Amino acid sequence: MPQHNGKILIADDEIPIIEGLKALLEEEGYQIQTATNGRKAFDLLMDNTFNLLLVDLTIPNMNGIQILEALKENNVMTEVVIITGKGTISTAVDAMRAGAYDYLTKPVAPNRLRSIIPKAIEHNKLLLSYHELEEKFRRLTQFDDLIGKSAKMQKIYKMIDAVAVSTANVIITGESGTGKELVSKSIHRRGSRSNGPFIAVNCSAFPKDILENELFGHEKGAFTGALNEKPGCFELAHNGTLFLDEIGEMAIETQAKILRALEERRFRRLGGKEEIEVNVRVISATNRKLSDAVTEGKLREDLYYRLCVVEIEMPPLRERINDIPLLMKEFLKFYNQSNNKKIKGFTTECYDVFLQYSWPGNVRELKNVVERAVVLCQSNKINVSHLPHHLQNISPDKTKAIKLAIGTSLDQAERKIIDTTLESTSNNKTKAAKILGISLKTLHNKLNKYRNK
Amino acid sequence: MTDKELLESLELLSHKLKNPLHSVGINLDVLRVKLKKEKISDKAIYKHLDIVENESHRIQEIVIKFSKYIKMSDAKKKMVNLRKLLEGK
Repeated sequence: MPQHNGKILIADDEIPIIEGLKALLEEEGYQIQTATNGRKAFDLLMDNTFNLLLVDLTIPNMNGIQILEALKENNVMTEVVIITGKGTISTAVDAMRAGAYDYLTKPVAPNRLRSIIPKAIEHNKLLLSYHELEEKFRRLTQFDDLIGKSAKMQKIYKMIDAVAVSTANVIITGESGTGKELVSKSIHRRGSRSNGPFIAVNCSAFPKDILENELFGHEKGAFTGALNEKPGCFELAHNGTLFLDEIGEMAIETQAKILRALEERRFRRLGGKEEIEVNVRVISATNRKLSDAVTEGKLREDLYYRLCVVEIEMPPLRERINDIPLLMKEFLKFYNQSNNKKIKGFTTECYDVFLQYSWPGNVRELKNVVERAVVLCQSNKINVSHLPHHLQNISPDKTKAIKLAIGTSLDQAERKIIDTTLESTSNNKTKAAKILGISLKTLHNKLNKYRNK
Repeated sequence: MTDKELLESLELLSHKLKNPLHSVGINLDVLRVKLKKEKISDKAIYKHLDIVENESHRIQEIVIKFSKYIKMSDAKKKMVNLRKLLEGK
């Protein structure tokens, strides 16, 4: 007798049926648990992993279809076979529509069970291993909230893991929208300070005095309007991480104060007498090239050396083009969920445009473009018309290649190049001549020559 | 008792019979498997097992006939074009 393995839950309110099914399936080698009402069955399914639920449709508390729906809602992947005394088509349709593996009417022949159950369990195991693989792939392509499988990103992930366990100050450089804040959060989360606070300040968002107030706080009465004392971000980030974004935009005087706070691990609030001691790890970020900022006098050299013990340089999106399809897929999934849509993917032309575009706003720009497209798209695929105007202008014509078979003569090749160029300019000869780098007159001459041939 | 009430009682009866029949069928099968496993070869035991199984099948047939009858009387009558029906249109 074949010995199968797999865990099955039998849910029925009739003990003779439960006893019979249990003995029959145990003989086949399955591990069996039983429940006599719907609620109990559902609780067992939530607390354990079963490959299969064999359930009577009319079981008390929660009927078979209700259990099935609750399982789907909770993403429980147990297969469900519903058994019923009512052999009506409509209940069968309901069951299958709710996602049942099969629907059997009583009395069920034992051999029918013997043939269906191994298939259902096999199906479930495939599903489980598929999800396991998907999870593994996700872990390979994602690192906390960062997405990308390119070599450049793999290098970033390694660096994050390496610096997270140290206490070194880290500076993250890279163009706007490359994910500098995500990197800093990831370093915080993976380090020993993960239980402490993560405080982010955008240094370019405040004028100088307000920024200092944000960073260091003030005492009551420090200035007109300072009615209460206010702790600054350095205090709030005690035992945690302080993320200073756009540090290159900070006034030189403020930089001096930050340098002191970093070196002495203490500072005063505005209008305060007492020094406050803090233990803060600072991660900073800038979209400028750091050494340039120093030469331009935008960044104090001493602060530069203090902050930049380790530099993590985020690659712009155009330098990791092979991550673009993955990012498109992930953001589509994300915005499908938040917009309650079921868009399946992108058209080929759309992929072409995404791959050609230079993405000056990097991942943030791509994310916004996908969001916009999801909102506008009424069909099941996003096409070029759902993209912003400046992306639609990346006309696929520009990339259309001219294919020449081996054996083409130079004359024929010239003719083909001219014809195709004219096609792409909608027969505008002036434009075509410009693209081809010849005068309009030469073009006319050549066209006349072809006509006469 | 009206026709409708009669039909409903028949439906209930056939439905109620299905549970014990389902259970008898499965438990008989279990018995057969266990006997084989214990290598019991007393032919008389299998003969009587066969009889019980056949009798349970007979009840099953009756219940199935009932169900079919109930479903048929549930049907609605309407005029159809026989030719179209036969040609599958």
